[in-house]
Amino acid sequence: MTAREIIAAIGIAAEHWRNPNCAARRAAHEAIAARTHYDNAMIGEALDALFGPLTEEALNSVIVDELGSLDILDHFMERPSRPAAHARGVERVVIISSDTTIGVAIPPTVFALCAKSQVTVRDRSDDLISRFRTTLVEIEPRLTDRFTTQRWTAHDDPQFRTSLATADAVVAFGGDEALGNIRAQLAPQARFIPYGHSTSAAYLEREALAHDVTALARDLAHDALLYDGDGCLSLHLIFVERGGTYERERFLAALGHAIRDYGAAHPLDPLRRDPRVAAARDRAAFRAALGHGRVIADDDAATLLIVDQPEDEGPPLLRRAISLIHVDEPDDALAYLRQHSLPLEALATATENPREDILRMAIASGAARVARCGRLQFPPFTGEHGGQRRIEPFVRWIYRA
Amino acid sequence: MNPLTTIRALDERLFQVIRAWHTVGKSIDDAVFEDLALEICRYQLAHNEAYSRFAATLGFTPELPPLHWRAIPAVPSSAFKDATLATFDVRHAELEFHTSGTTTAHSGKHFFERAALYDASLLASFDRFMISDRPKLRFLNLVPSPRSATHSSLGYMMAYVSVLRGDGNAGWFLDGDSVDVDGFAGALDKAVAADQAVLIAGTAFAFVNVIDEFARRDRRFTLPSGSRIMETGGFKGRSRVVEREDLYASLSATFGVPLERIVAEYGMTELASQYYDAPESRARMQRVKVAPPWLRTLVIDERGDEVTAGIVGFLRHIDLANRSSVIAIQTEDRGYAVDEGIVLLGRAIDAPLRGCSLDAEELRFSLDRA
Repeated sequence: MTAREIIAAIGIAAEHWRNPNCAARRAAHEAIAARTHYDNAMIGEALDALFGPLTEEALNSVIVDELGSLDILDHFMERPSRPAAHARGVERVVIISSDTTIGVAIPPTVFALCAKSQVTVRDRSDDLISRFRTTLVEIEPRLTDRFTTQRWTAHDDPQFRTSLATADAVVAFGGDEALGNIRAQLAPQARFIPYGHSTSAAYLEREALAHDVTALARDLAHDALLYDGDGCLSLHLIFVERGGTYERERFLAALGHAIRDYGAAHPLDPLRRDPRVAAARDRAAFRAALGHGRVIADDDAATLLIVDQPEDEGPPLLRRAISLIHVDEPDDALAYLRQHSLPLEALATATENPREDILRMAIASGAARVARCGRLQFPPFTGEHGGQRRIEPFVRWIYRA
Repeated sequence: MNPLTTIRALDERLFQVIRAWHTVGKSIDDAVFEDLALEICRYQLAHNEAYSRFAATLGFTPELPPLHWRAIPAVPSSAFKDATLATFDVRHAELEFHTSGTTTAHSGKHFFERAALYDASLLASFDRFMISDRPKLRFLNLVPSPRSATHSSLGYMMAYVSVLRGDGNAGWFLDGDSVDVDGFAGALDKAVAADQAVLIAGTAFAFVNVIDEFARRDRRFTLPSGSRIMETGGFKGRSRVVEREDLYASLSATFGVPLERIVAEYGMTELASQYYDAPESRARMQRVKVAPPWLRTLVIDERGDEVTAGIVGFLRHIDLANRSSVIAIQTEDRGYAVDEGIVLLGRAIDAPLRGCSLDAEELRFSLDRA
């Protein structure tokens, strides 16, 4: 099979899944709802965001950008000023699905397939990847043996250990300890593509707060509350610049309303309620009673916004919990992030073109992406995830000279 | 009535309650508890400025106090980090304890106006729940020594009971995170040689350390009859956490102490009184915590409403011996009520950073079992 044929098949399969009435998608939707207890609209939004941009054109453009051409995946290609080369997919790729984020394993899976690797995905109980695989192999049966899925069981499953030990590349999502455990099971030469825990923040420059803030507040609520705050692209921390024409009360009122409105439109499933949010609310409420900061929360602590918590306290990294901190400049925000060792996946800004000092702060924070508020949860498929390129990790280069 | 008179009268009533239970096991009925709780609450609303400001946001003032003890506004336990919660000038505090604190960098401070009240409360519970058979014990302490940790409530408590209830040869074997294993082993050997029953008091973390070390040295002890172990303090975010059942089985095997002689004490710096494992539950897998009559606990949900027995919620303690600070403390500990007392599940720990997480991690931090 040529890379073009694989890409075309993936594009057609994704097109099927873009249709909300696609039977496989509907089944996956229900299974995801049963597993995650996310609001139905959220799941629909996640599937749209996942399969909407997954087009043949998008795959082509990423691969050409990263490797120089599509054909280089099939055979040697001449390159200007460099020896001819062939980007050959590594033999075996293992991808371990995430627990919290819907379909985060899909992009690495499709790129590893494009690289013509043998791909094994540890799927979740919703069988999302497995269901997508069924669609794909119906379209392109030659992929049947190249693409397998396994249900997630336990880390110490012997079959899983064998898969890891013989893999040439492994993609995994998780915390340092879990990633360390996985890494320890790999062959010394295997490539490990870890996506460690991280969170996302917003930096709102004072100039952007001079106008109507209703839309901005709505965007922030969406960025923070979609997927109940799970996943590295969920907003947990908002830095707001003091000064200028920023009107604190007006903005906080707008944000409070936006959070309440979002919470009402997408109620938190009681099974997903985290008692730690109530504890964080109570801590903040006591401080607020003494005149330190403010807390905006509903009675059952389904959503929580803490304003100006003490600097020595990190943000509550909890479901539907947000911390808002007033700062004078980007360096204050950076200092806070460093003080609490918070690795950022993305930084949201109020405008498309943020100030230079904000971009410098984003770079210094280690963020892999800068996005406008409201777009945080929709990373472009063609962008790099977690600072990693899309297909490059799955190929090895052979040059002829 | 002037404040001083009020205080003396209140304290005298508290001392009477404590003495009656300590000496003859006489409890108090709901009406007495209610009356005392509401009177102390009114006093605290009038004389504890930070508490008063907090309570006012909930609609309670000295003029409009709560009408039932269950309605007394509770401060979160973290409040001791954020404010001075005292009904008196803390420069005159007879006791000052500091919390270990994990939520913020600084620790909380709990000031007590009268050491005698604190002492009476702790001794009564210790006597009745821990040494009701009144043995003369040697205290071997794996808790912070009050000499090195001057503001540790746990260290103070063990020093107090070691002096009053010990054989005069108490030992301290924990310095910071470091256990003096050789010294501790030597003290155990001496006690065994002298057929002197001991009480080993320690944090779960310290116990894990000594069990590991004794296992490495292949050392086991058969402590004299009547010996017992008091486990307290949980793991407090330390690296190696073991299940309580496993810990107790290891303790029993290492020291030759029957499981029912291993007793968990549940206390906190923010309280003057402590819970202990109910004697009748000590042989069971699921232990029930019981408290002296002046300490009651409500189990509440996220809205602050009390839940029925058997339903898990946050523990809210009303400790009348907290007379000089705040009697109602909202903890982040989870548990549920049963007929005999409460079952403690553990703390809703601070959330670690999460992105797209793996299943195993989800399981790991669901509960920090205390």
